[in-house]
This record gives sequence, C-alpha cells and structure tokens, in this order.
Amino acid sequence: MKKILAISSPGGHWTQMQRVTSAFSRHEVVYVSTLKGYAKQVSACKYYQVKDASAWSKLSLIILVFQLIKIIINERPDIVISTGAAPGLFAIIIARFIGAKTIWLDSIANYEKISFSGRLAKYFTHLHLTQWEHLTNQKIQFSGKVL
Amino acid sequence: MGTFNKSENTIFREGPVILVVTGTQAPFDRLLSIIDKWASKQVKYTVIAQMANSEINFKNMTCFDYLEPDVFNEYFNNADVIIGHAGIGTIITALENEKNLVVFPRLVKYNEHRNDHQLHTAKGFDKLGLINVAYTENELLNYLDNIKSIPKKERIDKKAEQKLLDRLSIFINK
Repeated sequence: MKKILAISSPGGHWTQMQRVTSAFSRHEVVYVSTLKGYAKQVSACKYYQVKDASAWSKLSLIILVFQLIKIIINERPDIVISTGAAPGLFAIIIARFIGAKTIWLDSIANYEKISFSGRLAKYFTHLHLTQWEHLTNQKIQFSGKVL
Repeated sequence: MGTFNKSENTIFREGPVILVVTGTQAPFDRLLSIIDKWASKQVKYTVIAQMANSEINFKNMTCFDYLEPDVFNEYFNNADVIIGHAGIGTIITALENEKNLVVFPRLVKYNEHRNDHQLHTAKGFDKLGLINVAYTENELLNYLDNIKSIPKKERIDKKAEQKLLDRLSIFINK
C-alpha cells in the first residue's frame, strides 16, 4: 500500500480530483484543498485545509508554502497528484525533495493551452497529463478525460 | 441553514426554480444583472443566485454569497435549471445530476477573469455536445424566455473515463 497525497484548488479542480479517486483504491489517500467543508466529502480519509493563494498574493503564498512543507514532511507521501492550481504546483515541487513520484492532471478547463501552473509543474512531474488531445507534446500526454 | 426551506426573503413562485451559479472566486455582475432584469419581468419562476460577494443589491432574486459544499449541493439538487459561469465545477456537477444547464462564460474584456479560458472551456464542451452555451446576452435571454425547451444533455456517471483511471493506477502501482 502506498500513500497518495491528492491536492487541488476548490471548485472544478476538486470536482475533477473526486472523479479519479477510484484509481487510488487499495492505497492510503490524504486530501488537501482550501475549503473546510470538503472534509465531510472525504470523511474516510485524512483532510488538510490550506490557505487559498489563488490571487497569488505574496503573504498567502508564503503561508501556503509553509503549510505544504509541514504536511508533506509529516505525511511522507509516495505519490503526489494534483489537478491544479497553485497549491498543487507547490506541493509537487516540495514533494520532489522527499523523493515522491508526482502526477499533474491538467484541468479540463484548459482547452486552448496548458494552465500556467501546469506549464511550470511540468519540470517537476513524472507523469503529466492533459485532457485535450491537441495539447499533447513530448512531455505532456493524453489519456482520456475526467468525464 | 442547511435546508432548502422557504425563507422570508425568498419569493417562491409556481414554476421551476432557477439557480444561478458564479463560483467562489469573484463576482460576475454582468450575468447577475441580466438575470435580475429578466426576473423583474416574469412571475412564474423562483430565481436563486449564488453571487460570490457581488456588491449590487439585486431585487428580483434571492442571493447568497457562498455556502458550504454540502448545503450548496442541496440547493443544486433542488433546482430545475442551472444558469452558470463556465466553471468546471458548475459544468460537471450539472452533468452528474442531469440538470438543465446554460453556461455564460466570463470574459477578460469585462474584467471577469484573468484570461478567456472560460470561453475556451465553453467552446470545448459545446463541441462535445455536452452543454448549452450562451455566448451573448441575447442568446442568454433567448434561453431564459424558452426555459422549458432548453435541450437536455446526457447524464454522465461519477467517475473519469476508464482509460484515464487505468493510466493513473498503472503509474501509482508500479
């Protein structure tokens, strides 16, 4: 059994993560997002609420990064997966320092180009997926959608 | 607050309930204003709007800023028609629950988002035949005036395509 840290921003990012959880069966999953209320939706698993840094404000980013370092050091996940956005990008970078394998599943919202976070994350991921076939390249692969 | 009860400030009418969804990040006054104006001219429908801290005092809809996810889901499940921004959460939740959905994308030219990805998302889903999209105010009003004939879209199940799940499991298990 492995430990998976599944991190996503609220709204569509979270919804998309919930649609791939059956791929995590038989493993221990720890969820991270920014809304308190999500804990109830994953009540069988551990849930961490982190600072919402969607506005990229400097102070909230610093707080977020410290929260993520603490969570990742304590939990020591084998795998970190994110559907975006900023918190997932930082978690993936931090996860590389403890040797975790990392997965980015770019949001289906990004039809025209890969998200900003996704473009940065690609330097730190082991598996990098888009949900639109026309956005693939050498690094970014397509293997179906969350629909 | 946890149920979909009649409250003092909700004008419940005979016809279907329309829920307007604008996400959690920023107000979407252009959409809310169009619907509030439309609602002022009709007497059949109950209009409820999740308005993400809009500062406008809308007179013809019941508004709330934000609800905890489980309460929000209850509102969502009780609505007959969803009019939403083109956020993925809104789109997928509507598809999972087989709701009649019309999306109205946020546009960067009105400062409604950092970029035009909602427009691209809407076009992508529109091409797949999964959602109804109103690209202009007139198109939106046309959907509102013909609410009973908004095309129903196919329901999707609660998980991703098997091909994606397999790719993730293989990676996780290796």
